[in-house]
Amino acid sequence: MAAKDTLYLENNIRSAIHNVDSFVGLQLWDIPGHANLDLLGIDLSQLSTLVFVVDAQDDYTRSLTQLHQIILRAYKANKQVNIEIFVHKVDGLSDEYKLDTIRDIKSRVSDGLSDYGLDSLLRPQLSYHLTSIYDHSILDAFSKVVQKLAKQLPVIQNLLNVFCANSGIAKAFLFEQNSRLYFATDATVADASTFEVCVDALDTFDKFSKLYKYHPSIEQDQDQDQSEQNQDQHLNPIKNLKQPATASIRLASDITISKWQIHENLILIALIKSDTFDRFKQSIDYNVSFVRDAIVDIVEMEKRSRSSRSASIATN
Amino acid sequence: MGKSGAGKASMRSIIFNKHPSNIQASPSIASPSPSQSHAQSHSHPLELLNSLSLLICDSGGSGSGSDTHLYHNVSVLIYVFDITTPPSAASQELDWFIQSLQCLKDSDTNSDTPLRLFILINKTDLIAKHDACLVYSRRKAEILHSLQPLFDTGRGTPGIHTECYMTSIWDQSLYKAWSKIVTKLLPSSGKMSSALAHFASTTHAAEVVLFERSTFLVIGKTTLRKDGEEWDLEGGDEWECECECDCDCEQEREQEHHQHHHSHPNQYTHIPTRNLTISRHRFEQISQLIKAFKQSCAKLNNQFNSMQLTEMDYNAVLEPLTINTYILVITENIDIPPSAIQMNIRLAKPYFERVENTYIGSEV
Repeated sequence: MAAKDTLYLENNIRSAIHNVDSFVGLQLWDIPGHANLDLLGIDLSQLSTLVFVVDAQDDYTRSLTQLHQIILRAYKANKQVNIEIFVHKVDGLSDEYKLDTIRDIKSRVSDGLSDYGLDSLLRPQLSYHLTSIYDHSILDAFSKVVQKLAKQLPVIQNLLNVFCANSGIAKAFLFEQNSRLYFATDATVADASTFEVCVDALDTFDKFSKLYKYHPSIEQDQDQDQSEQNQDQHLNPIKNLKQPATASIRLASDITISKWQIHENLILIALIKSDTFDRFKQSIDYNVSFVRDAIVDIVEMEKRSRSSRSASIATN
Repeated sequence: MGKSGAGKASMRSIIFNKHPSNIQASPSIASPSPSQSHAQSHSHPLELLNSLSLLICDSGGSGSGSDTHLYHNVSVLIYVFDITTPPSAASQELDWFIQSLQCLKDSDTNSDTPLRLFILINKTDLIAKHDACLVYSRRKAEILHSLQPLFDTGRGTPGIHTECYMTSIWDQSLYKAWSKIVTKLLPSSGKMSSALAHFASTTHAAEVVLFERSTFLVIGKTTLRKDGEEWDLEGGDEWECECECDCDCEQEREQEHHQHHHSHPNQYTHIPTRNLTISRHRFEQISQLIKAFKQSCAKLNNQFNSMQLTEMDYNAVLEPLTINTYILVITENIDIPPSAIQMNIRLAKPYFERVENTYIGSEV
């Protein structure tokens, strides 16, 4: 959905549960603002992450009191819970004011919590994010939330670090294609605009690739009918060997943004110096094939363990 | 020109300046105040492809058609209508349109070149999609009908070349209309397209598209069948209108089903004898995509240079060609590596430069 269309979204009245099957299996519980936690009947001990959205353009005193209550209850139910606070709608604020707002909210929350007798040592982990739907900050923030839930993150991060160091890559992101969230990136620091351009590049590649599609011609189908038996055995290995989608955009000042399809829904985006890309493209591709193998292994393993887990739950 | 508030300035800023339409969405940057273009007309000289220099007079939609100095040396009139105009005001709008056309004719009698008239019916996004087609064809008929007397009086003089497009600044239809306009205006477009066809057949490309560099409007294209025959999707005018209509309905459906990633059989057409289906609106969409991406490159203080795409079943290479153009080559045969296409493009550069320049020679 485009950001400008969100105006037409209606207010949430009931809480809704969305299942998101991404890199980690997620269940999003979309809870309306006015709801009373007692009436919802949610088992707070099941929560692994709690995302609380604060409207930065509004008077947030009341919503912070609500936040205190929720933090206390969630923490009591589950000591391991991650609490993420999105300071939202910051697009209307100036940079200076943004920082002021987040500082104010931080101090109010911690003051409030110590009023309730929560020691600063025993306090749950709170993270704050400045977000807006009109730029990519919401993607960035949500990516970080999801990353905390992924147990395999350190492994993949390490993998990307090694890959970047050995392939002359400035920055690499592992994106999920549909949601545009990234699951891992290497350890180098990048500014927000780099991330934005990478997301935009991914968008461009994605939309472009939809304009042309494969369409088997009729004559070929007839041929296939005759020798279908023979072909079938050959087709499968060929399909696997077929080139995975890659793409690259070159920018004028010596940077190339490059994309590799890693898994059905996972995409590796990397920023490379154009010079390096031209000279070592084959070797980089070779390195990517190893990254791909490793990540596919991890993803398949995760899938298997998840399905066995759900099977055991079903038997219970 | 067009009635005030029909969306002329927004159109110009999207196509020729660097405003993506979604920026206009935020009210702070929203369209320039009407009085701005009302008070005086803005002239924008613009170079396209060396061979064509456009002087765009973004003339205000003032009620009077009195400033006759505007009408000198005009070779093209692009008139923007607002599709949402209520019937009561529509006749007045038409009157003014006719009046300005009349002025144009009077001041232009000594010129030999026929006047070209492009009518854009704008703001189609404000009308329900399924109605838009009907309303559009009704308006078009009305406008063309009102033109009739003008054609009759011009005895012996070359008739006015008229074309009508349905546009909205919120989708790619705007790019489509302007691409058509620019292609029609380019004197060398015929030569260019034969050059493109030649290039496509020698490189075994399925499709070759030529873009203008700064605006990313399509100025030439060829689609080749497997046997090397050129294949043209665009039929007559009527078919085009029909296409435009279902394009809009399609879009609506696309938005509705966007989450489901639904594929629409109607949106794609199949190139005969090739294993490739193509979206009907690909040209406009490419213009829009690249323009948007150029925008986001600005965040890195950088500029877009080239792009290549390797999908399962085709390769696409977008490269700068001459100083004024970009070329997009689609090959269905994935055995041709993108670097080979790039080399072909590099080798073809001098040839296309010659095609572009020969025209300037004959023009001067």
